[in-house]
Amino acid sequence: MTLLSFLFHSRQWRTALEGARPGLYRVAYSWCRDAALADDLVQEATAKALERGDQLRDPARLKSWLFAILSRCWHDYLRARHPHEDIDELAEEYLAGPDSPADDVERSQTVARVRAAVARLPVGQRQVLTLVDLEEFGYAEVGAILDIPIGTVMSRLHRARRALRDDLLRAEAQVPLRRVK
Amino acid sequence: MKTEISDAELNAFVDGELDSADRERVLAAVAVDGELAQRVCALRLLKEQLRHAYAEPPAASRRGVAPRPWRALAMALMLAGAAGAGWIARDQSAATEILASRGDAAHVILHLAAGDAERARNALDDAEGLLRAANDAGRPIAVELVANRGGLDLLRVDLSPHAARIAALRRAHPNFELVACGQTIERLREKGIEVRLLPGTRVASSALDQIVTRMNQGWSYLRI
Repeated sequence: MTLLSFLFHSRQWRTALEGARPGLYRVAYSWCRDAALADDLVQEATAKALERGDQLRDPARLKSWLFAILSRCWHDYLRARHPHEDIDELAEEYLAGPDSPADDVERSQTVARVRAAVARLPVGQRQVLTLVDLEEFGYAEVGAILDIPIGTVMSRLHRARRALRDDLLRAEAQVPLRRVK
Repeated sequence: MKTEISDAELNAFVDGELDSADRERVLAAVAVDGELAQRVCALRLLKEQLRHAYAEPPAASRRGVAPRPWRALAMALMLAGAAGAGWIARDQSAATEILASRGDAAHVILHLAAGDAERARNALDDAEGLLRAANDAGRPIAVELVANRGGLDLLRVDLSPHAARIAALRRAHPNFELVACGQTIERLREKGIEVRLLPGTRVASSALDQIVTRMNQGWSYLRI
């Protein structure tokens, strides 16, 4: 590779990666509800993207490719801590962050409630839901990102939304969430 | 008559995943079925709540001053690329391995032409990242920061917001050089502005001359 073409790629890369960063961070935070961890995950995913830049054949797929790397980083993180469990089924109690993160304290009640409810979803459902609603990925794209069949995307999405709706309805009815089993 | 619309279909409807025939069918059903319309509303509301909940995620609070390690990595990769080694670096440590794998010294010229605070900071972050990576790898490196136009402010005694940091960097890394553009200085002088530069700053006839000279000598060029 010549120096010039390398620099060109490098510049393009940096611009593309900088641009993708806020979206990656938002989704990473929605997954783990821990700002420092989310930032670490994005850093790691970005480093991996730089390393494997040559594996991306179609630049149009850059965004979903980056989210796939991010997802693998998070799964690796969870896998290291829960080697014998099904990562997709892990729910809130397995999160790294504290139960009631300080970040949420200043947020409005609604925001805090939704974030808490999302954190209670199993990891697999949480990922599908946030990729569809926050990043507006199509079902097929989400399937490719998480490496699951599209039917699984749809069923997880349906279950996630039902659980989220029930959870938020309970919260609105002022039932103390901790006591609901 | 009620059309059966499954939950999966309703979800696909609010997510814009249905083709136009199916969309038509759901729309027709919603028009005559209040309960179905309610479910669609509830799903839309839920999407909205979720988006709202993450519209402003908390700022990442990083400990320590390692603001952009990936950027240093990108530059280490650049060094590898300049050497024809291509894209191979796993992380900072692998990047340092690459630095170490070549015998001769690495030479990088960083070019700062704009005066905004972020770019000035980036320039120093980049310089520091490179110097550290090379140092850690025990590999000689020369880094030259060339400033012109607004970028020159970084090297001016009375305007530089980072004079202390630059001095510390220079103490730690004697192979970190500062070069000011003579043309920019001349232009300021014509306007009656006397430019005082940070200690140890060299003046080149122009930034462009300096860059061309260095690139001819095989240096890697990076514009901030």
